[in-house]
Amino acid sequence: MSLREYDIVIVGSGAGGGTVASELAPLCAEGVRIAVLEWGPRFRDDEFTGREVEMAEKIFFDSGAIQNKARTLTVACVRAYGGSTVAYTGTSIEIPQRSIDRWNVPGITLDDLTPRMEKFKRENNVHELPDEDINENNGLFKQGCDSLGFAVKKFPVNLRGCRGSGMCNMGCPNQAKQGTNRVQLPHAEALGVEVVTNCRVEWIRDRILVAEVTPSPYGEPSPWPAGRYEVGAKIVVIAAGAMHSSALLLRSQLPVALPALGRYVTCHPALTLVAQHNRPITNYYGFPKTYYSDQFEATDNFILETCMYFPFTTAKSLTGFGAQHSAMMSDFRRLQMILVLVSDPAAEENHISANEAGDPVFHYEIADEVLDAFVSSQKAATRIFFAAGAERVHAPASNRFVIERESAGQIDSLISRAYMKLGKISVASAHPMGGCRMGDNAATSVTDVWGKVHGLDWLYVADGSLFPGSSGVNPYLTIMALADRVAESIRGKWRERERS
Amino acid sequence: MSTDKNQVGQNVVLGPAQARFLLSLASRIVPEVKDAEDEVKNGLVSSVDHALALQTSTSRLLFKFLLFVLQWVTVPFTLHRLERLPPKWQDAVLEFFENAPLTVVRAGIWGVKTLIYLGYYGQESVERRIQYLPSKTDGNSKLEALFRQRTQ
Repeated sequence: MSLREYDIVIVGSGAGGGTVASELAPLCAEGVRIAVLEWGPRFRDDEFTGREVEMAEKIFFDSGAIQNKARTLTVACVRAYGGSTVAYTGTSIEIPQRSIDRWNVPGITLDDLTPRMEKFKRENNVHELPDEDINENNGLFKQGCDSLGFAVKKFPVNLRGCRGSGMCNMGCPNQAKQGTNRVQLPHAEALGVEVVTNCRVEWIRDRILVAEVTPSPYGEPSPWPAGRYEVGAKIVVIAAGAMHSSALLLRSQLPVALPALGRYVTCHPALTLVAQHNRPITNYYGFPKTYYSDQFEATDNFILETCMYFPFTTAKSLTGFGAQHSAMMSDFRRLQMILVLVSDPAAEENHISANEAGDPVFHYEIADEVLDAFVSSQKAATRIFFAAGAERVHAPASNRFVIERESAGQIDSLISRAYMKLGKISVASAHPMGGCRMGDNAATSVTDVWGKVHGLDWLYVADGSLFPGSSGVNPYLTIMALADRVAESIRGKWRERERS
Repeated sequence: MSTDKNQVGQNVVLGPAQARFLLSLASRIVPEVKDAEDEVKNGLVSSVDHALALQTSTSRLLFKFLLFVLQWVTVPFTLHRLERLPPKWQDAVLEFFENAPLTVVRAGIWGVKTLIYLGYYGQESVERRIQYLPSKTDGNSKLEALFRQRTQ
């Protein structure tokens, strides 16, 4: 086993790890040795081909479908230089006050987080798209919301030079999306941080990490030769994403009792809803996600977002099969899509464990209130689709494959909990959160409000697993803000250490 | 510590009989498969096979078991395997399983359907057929051109 020694080691390079690396990078000028260990490869620009199935296999764990134990939901997690920021859409919403209130963690306030989120919005070139770049899939959503009196907002997005490929979720083929792979990691590397790709950390014990570098068929070769490594570090930051951070800490058998480790996981269960127009609309050309409505967030726990997925993903989002399914898929240009994101409750029993191989196992039951939100959201989205001129709508919790326009008046009776059958309906998640939640009580949390693991002064967490509950909105900006707090804490600690 | 599920498998998972049944099933899930060119049919089977090769051995076994159950479940009632039944009966059986009282059964059918959709809609020729013609570098230009075309 080869030996390596650093002052600070960060595990993971996504919104959390990339941010910590970038924020701590100035310490390199003072001789501090910092490394980022990333499981996935560093893809070359030409490897973002936009081919749906190929990219899913390349960039996601389990091709984007880690299943929960009950097989009622799939979770998408990326492994790559840049982590899940490679495959998000770049929507940059600040966490709302009501989510902070629900978190109810002393010391975590919007006053503290807002300037941090603002900093990263500036860094990542966050702005709203000009109207001329908005396609009909998005425009019709706004039109539908406006005519129904639903609140509708434009997403701030972190793009630079977007060419409208619509392929954000497969990794931008034009390097336009400003994820950590484009902004924070290159900045950190320029200041001296080492990023080691294709490097899976197996476990951590008392300032020692054991990791293995395995060649990948994709991307640049890892800077470290293949093999096993023992990596020493004075400070370790875990930012491997909610699923894998919990699994890593669980298999590490830390010398402290952390009863909440891996627990209170939420994931924004999501449905993709599809409607068909009687004419082609512009949908897959242009940026796919421009508007959202939080009209129902406070009352019904869901937000609606525009989206435009790819043929296979769309096909699997529809229930049923056969001629009706094929008719819906027959002309992709006629499809309009809305994504439902539900704020799920942080239940202790929803948890992550690690299997014999060390991989995460997701024990998650979809709660009754989530099912209620799925039904309400389908009713709201169906109304939006019809108000936007759609001919028919596929609502998975309906008693028929499509609701035709002439039945629009019966939405409330056609869509019902009685038809909402888990296992049959494609429920997906791209926002796993929690598992290493912050808090001031070691019985119900894993870290303090600065991300330091209770009882261990050398171990930190800095990713979505810190969330005490759902963020209610797309989480990456909040993850960056919390990671910024972690970096601030480590910086302070380092200075203190130097002084003493 | 390494796991097999994220590594590209070299072996063909499905045997010839399983591949034939998969295609028969696929033609009920996606009717176009029945009259599709051999290239599309072969592409479907090889994509499913490849996707299975990336799964854990338990998942592969489960999938094969599910195929077996689907193929033979009708024999005690009709004396015929599923693919030998009239198309409407086949659809009725699949609908029954898709709406089965047990979540695990519904999830199993969802898994089979999902792999078939992957195998079919993941193909470039199918994308062209359904008019999904994205552009990696010129999406905004094409959007602008379509707007101009429609307002003229």
